Amino acid sequence: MKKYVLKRILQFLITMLIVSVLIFVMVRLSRTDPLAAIVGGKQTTPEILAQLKTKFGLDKPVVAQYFSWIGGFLHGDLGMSFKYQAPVSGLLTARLPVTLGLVFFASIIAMVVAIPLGVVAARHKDSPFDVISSVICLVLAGTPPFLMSLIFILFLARFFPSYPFTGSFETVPQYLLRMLAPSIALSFTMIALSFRMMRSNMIEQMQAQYTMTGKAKGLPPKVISWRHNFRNAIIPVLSVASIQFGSLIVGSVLVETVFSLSGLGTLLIDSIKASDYAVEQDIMMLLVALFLIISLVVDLLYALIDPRIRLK
Amino acid sequence: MRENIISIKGLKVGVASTSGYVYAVRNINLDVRKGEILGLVGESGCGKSMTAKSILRLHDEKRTEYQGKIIYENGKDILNMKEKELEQIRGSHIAMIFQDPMTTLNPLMKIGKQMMEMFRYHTSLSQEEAKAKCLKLLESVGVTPAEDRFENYPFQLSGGQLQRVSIAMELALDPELLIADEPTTALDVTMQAQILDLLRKLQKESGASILIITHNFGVVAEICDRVAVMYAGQIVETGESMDIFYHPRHPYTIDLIGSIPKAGLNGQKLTTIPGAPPQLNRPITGCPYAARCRYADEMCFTKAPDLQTLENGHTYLCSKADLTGEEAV
Repeated sequence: MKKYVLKRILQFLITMLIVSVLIFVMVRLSRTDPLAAIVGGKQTTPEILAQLKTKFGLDKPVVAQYFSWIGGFLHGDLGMSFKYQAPVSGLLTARLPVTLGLVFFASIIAMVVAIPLGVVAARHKDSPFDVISSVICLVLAGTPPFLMSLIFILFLARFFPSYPFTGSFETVPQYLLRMLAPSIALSFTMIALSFRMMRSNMIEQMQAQYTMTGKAKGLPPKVISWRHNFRNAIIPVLSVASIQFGSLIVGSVLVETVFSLSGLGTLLIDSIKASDYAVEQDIMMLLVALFLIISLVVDLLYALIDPRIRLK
Repeated sequence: MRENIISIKGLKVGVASTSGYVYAVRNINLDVRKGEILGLVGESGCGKSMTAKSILRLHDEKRTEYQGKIIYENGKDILNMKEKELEQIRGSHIAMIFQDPMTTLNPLMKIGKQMMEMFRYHTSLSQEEAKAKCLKLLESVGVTPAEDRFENYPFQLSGGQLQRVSIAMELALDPELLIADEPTTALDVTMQAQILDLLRKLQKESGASILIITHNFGVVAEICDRVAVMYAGQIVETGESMDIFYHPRHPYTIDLIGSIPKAGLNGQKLTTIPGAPPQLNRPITGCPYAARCRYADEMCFTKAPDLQTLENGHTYLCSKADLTGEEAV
């Protein structure tokens, strides 16, 4: 187990390193001149430009720029935004709760809804419940999140006109309420895919030999499903969910636009347009790290569930 | 005659297919007596495993149709029991072990925990009492050190050990009948003998009946008191196992015994039975074995065979009453 954990952590660190180089290079391949963003259309002289270059470290060799960025990043110094002329950390702290909240709430909602439904549908295969939920999930899986968000807003506006679609939030309950609708809208694709997978895995496990052993032992069907089949069926669902987590991050950009929330997504797109190096790099690094950490956690969870991974 | 623990009467089992039900078990009459080891022998696909699973009604009920009766010793028909009633019989009165020990147990649950379930769902024993019983059971089947094995997961044990664990688990509640579906087929030869020895030893100690499903006449000769030979979903011959072994009457049994490889016949071809069993999705006229039978005449292809009974209780399903299989042995 120790070896497994160390191996996974090492993999995580190496992946982060490679990704950081890729991000750094990609950002610099952009044709937009970062100085244009800094100057913001004002008249300048070559002297001022040179001064600005020095101020933001753009006069240093590229390799040195990389190390100063990544070194700072690791120490929690996220650098300066060219466009806003302010520390990136300040920009992010205001927006991080929105994106993190969206992605986490959406995945929690998805898991809580999809997994039990998948089990119930599998246990009552071909029943009206199974058929109806399968059709609904097929529709949900095929609908893009932004479209789902729009439909959802129309629905809410019609039936719950007092729901806060816009405006800021100060207290935690306000925050949670404001996040609820976009999180649900974002969760639909993940619900659909996780449900389908949980259902088919359960059906497969219910045909396994050990299931027949359980039946022959006189265990009630409910006990066989929840005590025996469930754990076997959920492992692949978790690993796919951790990959889907990536598309949730992407989806959150669209959902936050539709619900007029200012999260990392909108900031990232603005910063790419302006070639705001530090902001682009930091946001991408954070999102990749988030994705990789979730994968790492799921891998460790995997080992907790499956003794064959833990003990080998 | 000894009492029956299970009495199967006119059992037919159909499996749903795209063109209606296919009857893989067709009109079976079979008694399992108290305290005996009964072998159910036949080639792959003859319906022996299906018959065995029907006794506990393990088939997917949505896709299976049962006809006939399976009378349990309390006089009730298992095929008519409510699910709850059946759950109480499964495991505690009639238990079953399966062919491949590697897949019989849940891979994610400790062996001990899986054994404890027997007590948890059938008795009111405390955790500690149940655990003590499980440890004893593991020792009695030679899975030691029991304390360690109790905490192991199935993948940490070998196939032979796992089959022992299955046996220990299934015998936990002293069932009156243990159904063993090809219990040695997935194991290597030395392990096969050990498992058979273990089954016989435990049977002697507990006095339970064992119904052992096998395609291997060697297994029958080794441990069975009586044997029933199955062909194409029917039982074609029953009797004391030594009687059947030395005086088979049904041509199929004669051929089956004749095809057992014998020691000392180096370089010779193995004897086989030519042809294949009949398709069960079509109606069978006459004797199902007629096409492969070397004694068959015209009548065998048109008239269903009669059940012949000898004085010692030996029965066989053949129109030719005068056959003896002496030459096959």
